[in-house]
Amino acid sequence: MVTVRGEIDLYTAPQLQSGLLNALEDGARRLVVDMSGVEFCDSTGMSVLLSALKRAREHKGTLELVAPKPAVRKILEVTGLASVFTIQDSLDALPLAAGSGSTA
Amino acid sequence: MDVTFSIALPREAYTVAVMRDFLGEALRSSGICAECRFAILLAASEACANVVDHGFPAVGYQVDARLLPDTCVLEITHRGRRFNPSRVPLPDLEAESGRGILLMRHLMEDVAISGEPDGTTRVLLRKRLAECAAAPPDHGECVAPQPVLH
Repeated sequence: MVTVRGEIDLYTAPQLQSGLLNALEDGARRLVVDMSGVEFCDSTGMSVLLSALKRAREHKGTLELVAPKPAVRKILEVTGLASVFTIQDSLDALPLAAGSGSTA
Repeated sequence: MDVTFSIALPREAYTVAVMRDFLGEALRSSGICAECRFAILLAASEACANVVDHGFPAVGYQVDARLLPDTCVLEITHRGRRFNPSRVPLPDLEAESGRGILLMRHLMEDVAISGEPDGTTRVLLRKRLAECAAAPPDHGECVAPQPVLH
C-alpha cells in the first residue's frame, strides 16, 4: 500500500515515481495506491501512475487506485485513464488478503 | 469586482505550485466554486508545466490573470522555444505524455496558443463562469467563499 497525500505535479511527481518504483522493486506484485489524500493531480502525475502500472504489469502484477477525490476521478475519466486503471471507491472495498490478492 | 494580477516566475518546476497557491486564493476570494477552481488551476498548471518542460531557453514566465464577473482569462507567456500544439498527437490511451493540451481543451472554453513576432509565446485560457454561478449547492456556491482545500 502506498499512501499519497497533497498535490501531484511536475515538481512532486518524481518523488511519487521513485516511491512507486521502489515498492515494485521490493517485490510488491499488487500495488495499492491510496489516493484519498490527493488534492490535486495534473497530467504529469497521471503519467507517473501509468508508468508504474506498466512496470507492475511487466512483473505480472497490478496497480490499483483507491478512493480518488471526485475532482481527481473526473480527470481520470476525462483522460480515458479510468478505464486503464483499476479504481476502488474506498479502502473498505479492498479484499482483506492485501498483498496476496489479485484482480483480473 | 474585477480582479487583475500578474506574476512573473522563474522557469522552475517548483513555481507551478506557487502559481496555483496564488491563483487559487484569488479565485477563492472572488467566490469561484470549488469545481471551477480545480478546472482553472489544472489548466493553468498544464500550461505552466509545458513552459517549464519545453520553454528553453527562457529563464522565466509570466501569468496574467483577469477575473471578470462571468469569465476567467489567463495568459501564460514566455520567451523560450515556440510550442506548436498541432505537432502534439492525440495520446494513445496508455501513452505516458501528451495529455496536457487535451486537458486544457477539455477544461476551458478557449485555448489559444500563439507565437508573436518578438519571440513571445502566449497561451490564452478562457473559462466562462456563468454556469458556475448557477451551479447547485452540492457543486459549491459561487457567490460565497469556499473553504481552502489543503
